[in-house]
Formats: sequence, C-alpha cells, structure tokens
Amino acid sequence: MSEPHTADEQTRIVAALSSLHPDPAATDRARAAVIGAAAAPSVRRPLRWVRPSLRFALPAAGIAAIGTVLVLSLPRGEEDRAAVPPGPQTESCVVQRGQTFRILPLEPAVAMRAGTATVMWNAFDRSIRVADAPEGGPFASTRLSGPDVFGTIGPAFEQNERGDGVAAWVDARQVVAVHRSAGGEWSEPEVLGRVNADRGPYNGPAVAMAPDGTATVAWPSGTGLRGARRAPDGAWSRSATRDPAPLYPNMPGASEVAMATDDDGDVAAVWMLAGDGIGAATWPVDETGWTPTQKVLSTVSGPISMYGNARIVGSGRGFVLSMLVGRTTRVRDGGLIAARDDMVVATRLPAGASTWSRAVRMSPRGEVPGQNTSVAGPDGEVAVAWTATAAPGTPAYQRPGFPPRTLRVALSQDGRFRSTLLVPGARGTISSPALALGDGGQLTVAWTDGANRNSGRNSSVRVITYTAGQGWSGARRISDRGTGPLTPALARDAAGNTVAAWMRCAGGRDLVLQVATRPAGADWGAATRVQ
Amino acid sequence: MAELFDAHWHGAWRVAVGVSGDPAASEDIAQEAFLRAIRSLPGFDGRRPFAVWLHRIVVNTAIDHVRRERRRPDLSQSAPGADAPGGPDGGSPELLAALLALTDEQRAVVFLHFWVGHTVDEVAVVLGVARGTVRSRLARAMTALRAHPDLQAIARVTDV
Repeated sequence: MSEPHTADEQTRIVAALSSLHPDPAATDRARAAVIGAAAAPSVRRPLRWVRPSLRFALPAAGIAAIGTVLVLSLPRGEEDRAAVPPGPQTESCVVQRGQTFRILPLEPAVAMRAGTATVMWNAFDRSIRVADAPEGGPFASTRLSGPDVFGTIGPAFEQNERGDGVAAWVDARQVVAVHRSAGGEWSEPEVLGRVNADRGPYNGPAVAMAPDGTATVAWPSGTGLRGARRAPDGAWSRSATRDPAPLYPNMPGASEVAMATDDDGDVAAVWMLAGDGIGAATWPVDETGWTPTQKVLSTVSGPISMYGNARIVGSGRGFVLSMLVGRTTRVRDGGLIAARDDMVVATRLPAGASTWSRAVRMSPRGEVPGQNTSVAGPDGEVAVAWTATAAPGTPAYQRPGFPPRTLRVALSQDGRFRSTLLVPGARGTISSPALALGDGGQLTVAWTDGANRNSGRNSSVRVITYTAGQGWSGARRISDRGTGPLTPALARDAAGNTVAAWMRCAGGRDLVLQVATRPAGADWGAATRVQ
Repeated sequence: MAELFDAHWHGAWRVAVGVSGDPAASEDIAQEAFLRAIRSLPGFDGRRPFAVWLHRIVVNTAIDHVRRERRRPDLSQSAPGADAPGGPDGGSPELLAALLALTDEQRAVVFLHFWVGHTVDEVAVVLGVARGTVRSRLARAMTALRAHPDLQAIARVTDV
C-alpha cells in the first residue's frame, strides 16, 4: 500500500516541525526530576537499555571489512548507569553532563604563544569576548560579537605559531567567523552559513589555522559538513561534503564536528553523521574543497554499534583520531541490547593517505570510559585522556552509591600508543579533562574536581604534570572552591609557558571566566577573573 | 538513567506536542510521562522497542492533560525555540501553524509518523488504534495540509 504523502511533502513537514524545541530550562528541570526519581530506593527493577527503534541487521562479516554498520551515538544503558553521577552539577548555574559521550561545549578556548596568552569565551551576556595578556601582564578584553546574540554556541579558536588566528561561533544558527594576522586586530564578524536546528549545542563550528595563515572553518549543516577557507588576505571560499543519506527519515542531522591541521597545512574534519557513525573528510592545502566523505569504522574486533566523541589532532604530517566505541551483543525484535564494553580507540591517517589505519584500543578492559580529549605536541606526539568508571562485575565496582571516576592518559612515542597511565589525584566526581603537551612528552593535565559528589558547590580545577622519565608532579588546585567551575581549557607554548581557563558560576545563572598562568619553570599564579 | 533521559527526551516531547498541540505544556507532559515510566519499569518486558512503550505512556499522559485543560492551543503564541523564518535550512512558520491546527487525531498521527519517526504500525501501537485508522487519519491530514501554499506547489508539480 502506497504512502498517502510524497517524499517532498514529508521533507517540508519535517522542516516546519524542526523549528520547535523544548525549553532548555524546562529540560534541565525534567532531567533532574527524572534522575532523582530513578535514584529513589523504590526503583528496584534493573533498567535494561533498549535503543530507539531501528530495524536493521548487523553484517555477518567482520568489522575489518568496510561495510555499512549502522551505529548510534548514545550507547549508555543498564541499571548501573543509573548510579553513575552525571558529574559535578551546579545548583544555580549551567548543568554539566559528566559521564556521557558528549561534552557540552562550555569550555573557553585558549592559546599561548611566546609568553602571550589568548583566551576566547562565551560571556553568556550575549557576547563572544577575547582577551590577550602579554607575559606577566593583565588581560585586556575585547567584545567580538554584536548585540542581541541569542543561542550562541562556541567559540572555537585556533592560532598558529606565527600568531595568525581564526575563530568561529554560532549566533541564532548562523555561523560567524573572525580572523586576525599576527600582531593585527580581529576582523569584523562575517556570516559563513547556517547550522542544523535540531542538534542544539552540538552544532558548534570547528576551526583550523595552517602554518601559512590559511584559515578553515567547518560546521554541520543538513546531513553533511559545510566549510569555508580563507587564504591570507583573501576572501572566504565554500565547500560542502556529500554524505550518505541517513537510513531512516527524520533522523537528526550531522553534528559534533572536530577539525585539525597538520604540518603541511592539510585539514581533516570528523563529525557525527546524520543518524549514525563518524564521517571524515580532508581539505588538502592545495585543493578547493573536501575530499569524499568516509565513514570511519573501528577495526577493533567485535560488532561495534556506537561511536561518539570524535577528537582529532594534527600529528606531524598526518592526523590522529580518538573516539569512543561500544559493542552490541545481540539484536532482539529490531532493537539493540548494548554490552558494557565501551572503549577508547585511536586511529591514524598518515600524510597523503586516503584511508584510516587500524584502530587501536587504548582503554583497559574492566573500565567504562566517558569524556575523552586529545592534544598534539610540537614534535608530533599525541596524548589522549578520558574519564572512566569501573565496569560492572569487576572488583572495583561499587554498589550501591556512585562509582568513583578515574582519569587515564595515553601518550604516544614514535607514533605508537604503548601504555596508559592513571592520573594520580584524579578520582571521585571528576570530569572535563584538558591537556597540553610539550616537547619530550611533558604533559599537563587539568580537570574539574567535584569534591561534594553531585552538589557542585565545592568544585575546583586541579592540574598535574607528567614528565617522561621523571613521573608525575603532585596534583594541585589552581582555582577557588565554589559552584562550578566547569570545563577547563589548557594551552602552552614552545617555551613551556602555560595558561588554564575555565568558566565559573558567579551566582544565579551567570557564568564568568577565570584564568591562571604558569610561566615556564615557575609555579601557577593565582586565578583571576577576566571581564 | 541520565543517558536514557537524554536519548528519549526529545522524542517524548515531540509526542506530547503531537497529542496535546501545546508545545509550552509539553515539557511538563513529557516529564510526567518519564516519571510514570520509571514507576512502570517492572512492567516493561522488552518485547517491543523502549521508545514505543515510553511514547504510549506519553500519549496517555498528554490525553490526561488535554482533558484537564479542556482547551485548544493558542496558535498565536510563538513556539519555544522557533527560529526566524527563511533560510535554506529553515521551515515554514505558516506550515507549522497549519500542522498545529490539525484535529487532535490527525495531528497525533502526523507528528508521530513524520517528526518522531514511527512506522505506521508503531503509531498504531502508541495510539492504541488500528493500522487502517492511522492510515486514514494520515490521508485526511494530508488532504487538509495540501490546502497550504507550501504543499500546494508540490501537488502542482506532481500533477504535471
């Protein structure tokens, strides 16, 4: 029996409906109420996780074959996940999701070059601001965005070794970009395009700044990726990917783009495809647009059903992608039952290559990873970090109550990840790891520590340093204790000068920016508020 | 539970909008439905997708709300989160108003089928009606919507 409507009619109806969204504040209240009710002692029956309804069969062939594996980006389930705290929550400020595949884009963007720190942040007063601080000097803040900004997402900001910078953010679904040459002023904001309406904070743009000053901006739009590139002193050119159509209609559009540039100036982008999986494309330095989209599949053994949190860094003349993947064990009545075998994997795209290398599992069995992040050092080595909880069935798993989180890092050496390290002093209600990597594998790690379990009222930013051959320094707190702070960001320059920035609740629902710096060879200075 | 909420909140809210026609009240409806679902979890046997089971609860909760309120939605109010009109990725506010103005029965099947993504069979289970009833309501809804200019153009092209 034929459908009583055409595909075009369906498309227009869905487009009209896509302008409706639930109120974010009401969503937060509902979430808190539901989670609170689920934690009540009366909820005895284990919750079995079942995917949103999808009808498909996993390919019988192994994942090593390039097949179309339908994957989902929300792998969590089972009864013990109800006991996993959502992370340090702030009572009167923006709620942060701690243990999910997705990190809300609340963190500021930072850069450090020749002792000058640059911070860019969403001031949540309807403005995007940037501040520079020459070595030892105060931060001077400038407002980049115009008035009446609503629904801002971002900013994303990157700076090359010369000091050329590019930044982009979303204002009311419009992608806006600014740029500056080394030593110059920021340009006027320019609108480059529009993002999808249905992915909320995961529509943020990504930026890349090549060594020669060529800037690239990418954002999710529709079922694919849009991009714009600007050579120094040139105008913006556009390019769009052509992604495979989602398997089912009405699936969410593309989202969560991440991007990096390598030493040659080539750019690689990864993003959540519309409805399933992670897509990847490159924009080579001498080309006018994106290469054809590839669906990135993990070649770790076993049926993979879930991908998320794609993070990409330029590593020498190539790229390293880290992401979270999860397994399924069986299919029942068209739905999927997920196993608790999520893992962090990394895969590499060497210079000039068209396919990603075999993915390497980095997280140990018996742990369930959550938030992940990565960074590349000046010598091309890469560090990846992720939070984790003990998996059910392991001796470290605690019930009832909240299983503590730990923080792990993996450092590459000669291009290979050889082992993982447990970050000392990072345990409990921790979240939002951030990394900075210097020559010779000197690693700085920052995270949010919620000392009061879920209350968030006694949260702080802590940092620690690892030096190859010497081990870990002592973890220390670099912020005041209080409500928030949220999502620290780190950056360091070639000399070892380091800057950390984070958002902090200032009462009510106001978020403010705080910054601390550490000159090379010295200790961290006091945190200051930047306005 | 947090991840379960995150995975199903938007779908549940959309079901609530489809049944109640009231986007502003649908957050409360969906929240109440989630709380009812938690209390009813021992009764979920997993033989059908969780979303279908949850959305059945949302439908019942929304119907309870409509009966309590005993009113039609005020179509002159702006929907929360509505974007400015126009743009290549945007929809038609006028068509949206027409969708919200459908009869309760027609709006429910249109929203569940187009916006939430349920098959006709799943819509039938969620609404507790026969499959043929869903198809006939869809057909009548499309007839009503084709009076809208945004869909009239498609009809003319199709006729040619």
